[in-house]
Amino acid sequence: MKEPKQSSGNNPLRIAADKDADDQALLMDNETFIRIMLKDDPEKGFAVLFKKYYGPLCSHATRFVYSKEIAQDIVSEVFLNFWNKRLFESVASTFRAYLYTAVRNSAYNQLKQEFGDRLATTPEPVEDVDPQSILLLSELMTKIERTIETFPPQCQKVFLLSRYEGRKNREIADELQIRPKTVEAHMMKALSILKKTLSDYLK
Amino acid sequence: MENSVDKHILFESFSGRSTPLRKQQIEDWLRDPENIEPYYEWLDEWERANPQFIPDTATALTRIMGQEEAVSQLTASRRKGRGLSRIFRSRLIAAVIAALALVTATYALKNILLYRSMSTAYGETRSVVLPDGSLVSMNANTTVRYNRFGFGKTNREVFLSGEADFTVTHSGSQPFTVNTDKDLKVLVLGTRFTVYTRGEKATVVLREGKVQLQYQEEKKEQRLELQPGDLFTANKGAKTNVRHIANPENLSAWKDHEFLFDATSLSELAGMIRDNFGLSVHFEDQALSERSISGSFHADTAAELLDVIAQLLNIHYTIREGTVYFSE
Repeated sequence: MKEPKQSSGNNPLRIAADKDADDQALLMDNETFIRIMLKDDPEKGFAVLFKKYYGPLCSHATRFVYSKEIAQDIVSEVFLNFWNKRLFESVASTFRAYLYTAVRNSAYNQLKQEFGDRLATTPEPVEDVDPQSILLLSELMTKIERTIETFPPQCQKVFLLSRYEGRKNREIADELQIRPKTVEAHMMKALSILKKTLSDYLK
Repeated sequence: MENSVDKHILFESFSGRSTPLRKQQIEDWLRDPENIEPYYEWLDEWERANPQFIPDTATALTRIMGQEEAVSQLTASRRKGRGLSRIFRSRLIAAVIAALALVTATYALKNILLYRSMSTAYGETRSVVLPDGSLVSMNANTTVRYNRFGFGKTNREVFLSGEADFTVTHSGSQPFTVNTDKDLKVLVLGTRFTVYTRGEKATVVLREGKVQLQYQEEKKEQRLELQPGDLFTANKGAKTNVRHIANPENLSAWKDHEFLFDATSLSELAGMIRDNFGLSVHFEDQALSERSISGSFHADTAAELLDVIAQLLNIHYTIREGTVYFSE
């Protein structure tokens, strides 16, 4: 079984005892620093961790879900879960690896629900990391970007405004000087292309 | 064959410029668990260098910390206040925590040794003799702190978070006090007892001698004397309770890595597994959480304990990412 990590690396007292205090401040990497803070003052440590990773994680999640809003929801949920279950006390990997894995997995589950075979949608808990699934996710990320690049220009514009920026159909119609019906048609087309090209990845 | 994947190769693959050969190379490289961490380190670095967008982190943090659940877990003490008082209280608590953190930081970095502090890791139990000759047995995931100077001379105060069993030596004039983070104090004059203070629950069980408890209830300070065999329980938001139990020593069986259950439900056990081994517990089927076990078992590790439970109830469990999943 995986024992919760309790190495000397995250014990502030042991570190201080081993080395000169001034040296230590320089040697401590961010991860160690945040671990110590989470132990001494969980609320503050959590805030530091959140501020450090929220941005990059949201940015990363949009590469999958292509929506700022959904991406932020996913990342917030991962952090909330991390806090409520006090996972910082038990995560065996680095927080960075845990957070990226959890965000990528829940982005994947989100796509599965939206674009996968509806019958097969049972969101699974975060799985163990194996090289193939790590690579599959990175490949999926590229695939989505490539697919969106192939959309006809107007369709791509509508898709990004609607899905990525979360704008309303009416606003998009006004901005692009097209009829709301046309906006809908572009979206339908974009989503059906995505569904088709991603089906292999979302089984 | 030498198989080295460097940052450049990974960055190219993140940007979608990888040949099938390269992909295979990365996959092989990732087979070594050592390389998982660098993979995410470089993914993070790449993402920071090529952000898709920059969200408003400060607002998001405020929103997430505003969630009721998060707040209640955060302060993990007393019942939930409303509105201002809650904000005030959490600030107060934050200030206290900050002050404590300062003490800890000073201690850690400057080596000013005001307190001596002892901690046990998950799954570890340890007994320590205090300077006055009293014996403390700490259960897993527990910290005991006491004054480095004057302990046994000017005071006999210890601070506990977690669970510990005390065998206190008699000392005519000097009372022995156990402080918890709960407004609960135990005053002693030579005795054997166990204090548990984790999350929202605190219990004291007395085996021998006499102790006096001081605690807050209904905003008043209460005092209560326990008799041997008394089990005192304080739970957030509920009335405190004292009842007499037949075998008080069972509650400190963990000292010998013994686990004693008496019609203990799996959901109660889940709390214990979390406290002692740092694993959260998930039931695939809620009905499972209501099944219960009785008996005494010896287990040194979480796996040993879980194996026993699984065998007894004829159920299965797996451990993934610090969570135990029980299933039929």
